[in-house]
Amino acid sequence: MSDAFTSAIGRKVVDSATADDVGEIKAFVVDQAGRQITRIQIAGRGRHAKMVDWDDVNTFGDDVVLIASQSAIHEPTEERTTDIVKGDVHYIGSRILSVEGLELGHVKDVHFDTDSGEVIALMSDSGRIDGARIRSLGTYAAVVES
Amino acid sequence: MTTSRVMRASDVSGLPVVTINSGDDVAEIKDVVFDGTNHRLVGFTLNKRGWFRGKLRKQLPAGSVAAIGPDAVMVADAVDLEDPEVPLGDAETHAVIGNRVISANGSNLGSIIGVIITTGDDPEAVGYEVEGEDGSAYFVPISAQLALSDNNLLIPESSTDFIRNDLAGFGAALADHRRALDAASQHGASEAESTGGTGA
Repeated sequence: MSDAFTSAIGRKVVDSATADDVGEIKAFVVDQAGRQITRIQIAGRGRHAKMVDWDDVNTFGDDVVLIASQSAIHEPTEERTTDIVKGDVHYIGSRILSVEGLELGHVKDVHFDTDSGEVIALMSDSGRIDGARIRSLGTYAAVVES
Repeated sequence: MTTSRVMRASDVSGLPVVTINSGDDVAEIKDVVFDGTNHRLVGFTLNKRGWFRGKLRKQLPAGSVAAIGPDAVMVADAVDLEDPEVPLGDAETHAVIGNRVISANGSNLGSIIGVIITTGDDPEAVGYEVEGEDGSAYFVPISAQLALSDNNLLIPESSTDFIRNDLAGFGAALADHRRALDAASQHGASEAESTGGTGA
């Protein structure tokens, strides 16, 4: 199954053991290569953001996201997560740059696989960019193969 | 192989330097370092990015450029910026800007106002922009046959046909110029060979 960042943001996150509401999706942490979701932010902000590792997401449903347990919730521990939680790195709205140094527009949405967390494609104002073309996502741009 | 086009070296100044492996703008191009003696693009000096811009000690050698595009200069990794023992610009080079350009038949074509480089993954200096006495601009191809002194650049007969007055046309003419030079050098080599054969 695939889903999109813009439709997943705001979705409720529930503890599958206790059925408690624990938060809602605020942001996706994607690795430096721009290809894999590693964590999701479900509450809080800055240094006190509440994060869940993608591996602790049991089911990424259409209406609700089920996580393994509330004990999986943690605060940001590494720079990449902090950069994204603080908004220094963000996919939606990011500039897209080809490896040849040509600007190709901006990211409007990100499609991902709800099982693996893999980024399937970027939707830009100039069309769809297949995930296989992505080289990195950083503070300045998402860099893609031409 | 990326397509290469031509652009004024001065237009590269101010472009961000972006890493392909991390998508970060690690520097900004300050100036082009050009070795006039050998008509060779050496690399780029850099500024810091952000609000507190200032000179960056690190420099970018031409060989470490992954691509020069209209919107950014791409490098594979931040380690491609070098902390040089000898700054790129300190090597002994001829200053070329302002030199008088003279044609093979002795006409004064004007003076050099800029350097033209190719973009793409293997940037090199390929021409000079020349401003004529009447204010018009020309583009002159660089070749090994160019003679350069402290004051003058002498254009060989073989390059005269490839002078253009627009940058796009000059880019197209460069390929023809290179073919002409290759043909001339191959012709020269086979002549030398046959001469050698006769002598033995």
